[in-house]
Amino acid sequence: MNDLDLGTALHDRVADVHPDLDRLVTASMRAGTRIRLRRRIGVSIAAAAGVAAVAAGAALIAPGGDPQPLDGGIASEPTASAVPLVAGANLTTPQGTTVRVELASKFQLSGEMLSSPPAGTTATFALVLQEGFVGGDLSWLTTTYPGQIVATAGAPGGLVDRAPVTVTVAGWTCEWALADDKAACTSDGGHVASLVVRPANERASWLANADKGATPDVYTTQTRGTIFVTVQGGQGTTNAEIQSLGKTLRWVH
Amino acid sequence: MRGRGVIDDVKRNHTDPSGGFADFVRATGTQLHRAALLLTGDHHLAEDLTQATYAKVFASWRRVNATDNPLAYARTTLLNTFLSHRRLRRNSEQPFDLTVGPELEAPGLDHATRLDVLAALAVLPALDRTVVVLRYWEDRSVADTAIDLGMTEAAVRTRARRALQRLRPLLDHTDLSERTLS
Repeated sequence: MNDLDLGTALHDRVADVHPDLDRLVTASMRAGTRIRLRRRIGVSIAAAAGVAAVAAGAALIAPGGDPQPLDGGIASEPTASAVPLVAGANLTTPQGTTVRVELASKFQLSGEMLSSPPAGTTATFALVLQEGFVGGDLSWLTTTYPGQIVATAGAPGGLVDRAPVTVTVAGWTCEWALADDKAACTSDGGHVASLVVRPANERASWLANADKGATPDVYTTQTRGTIFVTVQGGQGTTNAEIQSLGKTLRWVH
Repeated sequence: MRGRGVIDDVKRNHTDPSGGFADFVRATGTQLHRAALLLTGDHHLAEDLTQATYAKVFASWRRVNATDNPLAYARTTLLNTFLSHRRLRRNSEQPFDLTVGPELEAPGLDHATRLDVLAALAVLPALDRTVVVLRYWEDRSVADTAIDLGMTEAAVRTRARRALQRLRPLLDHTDLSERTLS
């Protein structure tokens, strides 16, 4: 690399690196939506704690059923033109797009952090909109339906609802973040690795890419149903440890 | 970073359901991912860092998109996310360590064997590495780098000079430019 300055060397080194932009868009929007949701939850919880006598939420209904009043709750007064928040209802956004309410229920968002209402707060309800609205601005909903927690169908869920594999090698502990399709693993020695759940139909391209699966520092499982799992190392983790970790994975289901 | 024209086009595009965010990522994602790779030295960590950055951008997209330069916001977010993970190993949004680990000590390296650029960068402390990426990959000025990182221009020059001194023997270069005074 004679006669090249550092800037040129840096550009040359990464010139052939091309991330999967479609996957980046999808994953970023999903993770970003969760950040929005958490912010909104924080606001909702704070408001609920301050006005304990007022229950938030407009209606609760089983998917496909008829609207029913919330148990013990008094709905926040929606605007005169607001459609009741029930599963199956069609809402019109300020931009004129119609979105359908898929689910409106108490704290049912994939178990990440809404499995139960926080102690000392009044009921708050989660509204899940149809897939495809993940990137939309939801502020109009919280304005029209004050006190609601709003999520999108694509926001909370990952590829799987439960951890798909267990780690059986001694000395490693993994913590799953299912919504991120990942687990963070730590060894007793302080080394780190990650397990990543990926769509089965991406396995061939994953294994063919030298920047992804075709390297000795990654272990790739066989497909299992609609997914496969990869093991990738982090700080201090050797290739041998990654391979060992991968080979001891056991499918849960 | 370059490509303001592309970004301006993205900002005018409000037809997609993400409010232009998807187009923004497609226009800037390669550049940010490459910067993340230079910072972390690892493809997978770079992927995580880039995703974490865009997730934060998306969470504030309406506000970010209203600014004059959303890419500058994204770049700052990338740098802050990278540097913050040096200080805080665990983060609720991104539980993975985005760093390359303890910096290698240059004296322990076999300088007869020239290193890959990424490996050479890993020798540097995180902040020096960030300065190098901003100055020599992003082509930011000393003044702009100082603003980006919240440090004085003198500190940027010092770190850049020190980084070059450490990188020079590790890379098969004969004329790494010391553009530390501009």
